[in-house]
Amino acid sequence: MSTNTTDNNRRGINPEAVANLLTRATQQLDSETVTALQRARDVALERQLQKKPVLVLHTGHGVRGLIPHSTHQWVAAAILLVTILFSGVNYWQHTQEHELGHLDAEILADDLPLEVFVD
Amino acid sequence: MRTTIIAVFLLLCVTGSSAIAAEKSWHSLTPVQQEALAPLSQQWDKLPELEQHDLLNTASRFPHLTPEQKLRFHSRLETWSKLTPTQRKAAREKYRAFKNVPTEKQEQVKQMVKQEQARREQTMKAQQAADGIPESVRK
Repeated sequence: MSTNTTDNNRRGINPEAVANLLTRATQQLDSETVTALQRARDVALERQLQKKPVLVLHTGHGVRGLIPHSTHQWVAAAILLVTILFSGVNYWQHTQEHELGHLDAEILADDLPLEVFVD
Repeated sequence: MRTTIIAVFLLLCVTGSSAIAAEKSWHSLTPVQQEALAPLSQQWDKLPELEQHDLLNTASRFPHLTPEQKLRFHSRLETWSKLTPTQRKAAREKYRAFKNVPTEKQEQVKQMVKQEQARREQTMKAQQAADGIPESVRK
């Protein structure tokens, strides 16, 4: 028995033979089972069809969602942009002033007299 | 909506300008700031806001200086505060340029400056002696 199975595996299962077997088996099914299977297939197909447009819409929304639509959204985006720019400029300015303060302190504390650097 | 936008912009302007300069009286300074800016205690309240702001930035380094550096900082602070922005800018550029020079050259310049200072002091002493100023009064 085990030798037969190994032989089948080596040779491979013929898909056509399996399909024929299945077709023959379904022909023997009673009408009630066939209707139930038909209904299950229809429900599955319906679900698949419903999912597709949702996926497409979702992908589109991901990109479009970044672009403001209403005036309110545009104003909010503008305020956000201005705030970010303002914060950036403020931070840069603060850093510059801080560095300048360090440099001035260095000049004042250096062992060379101030007159060397001041005209 | 327009009111909200104006309010936001005004808020940004106010916070921005307050970050740039805000006049501070001498008594509102912290003890550390007062220690650093001690030579300017008399004229501090009369200084322009931007000037105060710059000096406070400079003073922030004071606690990290050595005692010797602190003495030099104090002795030069008043002169520094009287410089114009252009003079300060020029001084910063010279200092930066000097710091970019190789250390050996820097040492040479320092030696030259020391010699020049000693020569000047000697000349001054000789001048004062010639003018008849007693040694106890001479600087």
